[in-house]
Amino acid sequence: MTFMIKSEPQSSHLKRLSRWKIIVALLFFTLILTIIFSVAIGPMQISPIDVYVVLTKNIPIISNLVESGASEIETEVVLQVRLPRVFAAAIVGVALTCAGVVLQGLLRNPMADPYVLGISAGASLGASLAIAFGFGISFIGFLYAIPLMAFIGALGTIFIVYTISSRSGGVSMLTLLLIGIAANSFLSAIVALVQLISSEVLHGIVFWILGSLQVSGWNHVFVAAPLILIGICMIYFYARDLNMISLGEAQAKHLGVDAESLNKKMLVCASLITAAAVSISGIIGFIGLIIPHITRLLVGPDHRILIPSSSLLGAIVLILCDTLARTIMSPAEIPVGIITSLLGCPFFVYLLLKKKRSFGNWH
Amino acid sequence: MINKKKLITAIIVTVIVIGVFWGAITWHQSLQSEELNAPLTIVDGVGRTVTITSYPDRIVPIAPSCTEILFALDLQEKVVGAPTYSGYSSEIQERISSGEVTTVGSFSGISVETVVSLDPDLIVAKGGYQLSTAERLMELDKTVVVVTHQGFDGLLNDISLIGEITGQNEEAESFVQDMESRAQEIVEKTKDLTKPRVYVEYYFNGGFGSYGSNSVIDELISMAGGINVFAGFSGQYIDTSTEEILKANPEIIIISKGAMSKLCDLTPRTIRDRPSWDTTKAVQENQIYEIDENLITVAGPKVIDGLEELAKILHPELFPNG
Repeated sequence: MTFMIKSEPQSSHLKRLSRWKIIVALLFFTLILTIIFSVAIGPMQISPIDVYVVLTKNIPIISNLVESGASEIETEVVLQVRLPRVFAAAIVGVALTCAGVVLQGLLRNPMADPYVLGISAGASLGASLAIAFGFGISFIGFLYAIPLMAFIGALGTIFIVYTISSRSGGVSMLTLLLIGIAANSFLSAIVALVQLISSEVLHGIVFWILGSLQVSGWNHVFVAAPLILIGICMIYFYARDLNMISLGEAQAKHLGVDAESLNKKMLVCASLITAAAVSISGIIGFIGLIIPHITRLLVGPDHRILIPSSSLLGAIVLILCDTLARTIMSPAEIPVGIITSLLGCPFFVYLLLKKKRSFGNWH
Repeated sequence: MINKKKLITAIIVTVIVIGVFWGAITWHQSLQSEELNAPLTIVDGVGRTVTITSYPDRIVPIAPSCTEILFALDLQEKVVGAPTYSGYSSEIQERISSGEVTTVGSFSGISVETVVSLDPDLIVAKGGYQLSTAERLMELDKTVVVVTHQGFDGLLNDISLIGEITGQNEEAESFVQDMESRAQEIVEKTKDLTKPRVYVEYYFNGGFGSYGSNSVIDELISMAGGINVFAGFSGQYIDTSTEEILKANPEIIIISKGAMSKLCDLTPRTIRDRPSWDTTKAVQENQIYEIDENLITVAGPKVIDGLEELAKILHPELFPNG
């Protein structure tokens, strides 16, 4: 961690910068490849060439060069079903991972994930209310009412958790964490109670809670993507301060960081991007907890590289997992959360054992 | 004086008590339609050997389809308990609401205690999901017959079997024959026609709920001269995606209408309005229909009505009079 505090020799700084550039470039390139690969496979047998012809059809010069062999249905599937779903997976992966990085740093707790402050339970309650109020678990409900109510529920919960935590003067991160955990249990109990009372009506919420990208359309992507992008840019802007605060608030203050204001800003950003992700995908576990750890093991704990690289890795992993979810048991679908945990956890344990020493220095 | 009064009271009470007992006994005997000459040994749907020493008088079915079979065989007087089920015919519903039939829980949550308290001499259970409940009742020394009604022929066998053990052989025989001939007629008429691809939806929860090849409706669709688009999936239920359905490109969409479809707001209009679904033949040609789920998803005597309704939807040309 010394590099953040002492000024370092110019050459080593440049060396590190160029290494970071290479890492980010490599991950970005991998993400593009992943998207191209994932769009080309799916239950419907469409030749990859046709897929790419369809994708480039709207680009003026190329469209004159190639002739599309894809039928109307195939075009529709590529442009309106697969592509928005892949993009939704990408932005949800980015959001959850980035929120995980921020919260683990702020709370100085390796167990923190995007849902730790009550967002998941708040979103579930919002979605339950959307259903209970009669928006139903209809297709239209899944397109509009449930995402909106989940978003409101998630942000509302965070707001309440933060307000309660700040009752005793300044907000201590430990208090915040504990109140978040209490809020999660409390709201989950309410959701369970409401489910019990109107068992049949809220049956659908169970599936929503499992997390799924099955109905993701362009409207979801267009609404969530700007929020997530703004949030992540804000977070990246404060990457250096996050480095300091993850050493401890006292140290950060010594180094001239206004800890309280940073905490507040970062919490708002993390909550906003998590809420946006949860509202379109339901609660997908694992990604936001483990991908930050995996990235830390691979690139080190500096938030300036951790934030971009873990976000990209999160997107890549979630796209791949969702591609598996929609294809391996075709014609049936499996919830993507099952895949993320089944594949991710063994890999994570493998990494831990291999790089045992680095884990002690997780923050 | 007092003694005389007491004596008269005693005589009257005795006469009444004897009369009530005698009446009850004759009434009880009149219920026993037929007596067994020798114990009857049968093999039930899960391969167990069950011995019946006398025809049952107090029957408790613990699956809705079994209740329906018993009522179809004119055994309503002897059914003392049944599980709750919203799809029952009004005759069954009436007997439940009047208290003549006690509810013993739901299909997936049978109250063993209530069943035992009814002192049944025959319990009819459905295999698979209910097997553990059935086993519990066997441990309590109850006569339990498990039926599985796998497939249409399996259902007919089960009706015959239940007829045999309850002494309603003739009723069962004529009922089975009627179902067989009605089904045969449809199969004969439709077997050489082109088979439309049919997609059935019963639920939407982010994914689309449909039926695989182990379901009742899959068999009904093929009997009615169609192809279930998810016949290649061996399960009973399937949770699937938009792309799978667009890929299958169904020519006919059927909503399995019930509590679930109502909850998810499944109507021909909401299905037509789904983005991208207008690429399917069914939406383009406006071939979206609804059938009561109780007729096509529960393996009971009503499937024959479901089969006829399906045939009308799949091949309207065969039924010019509607």
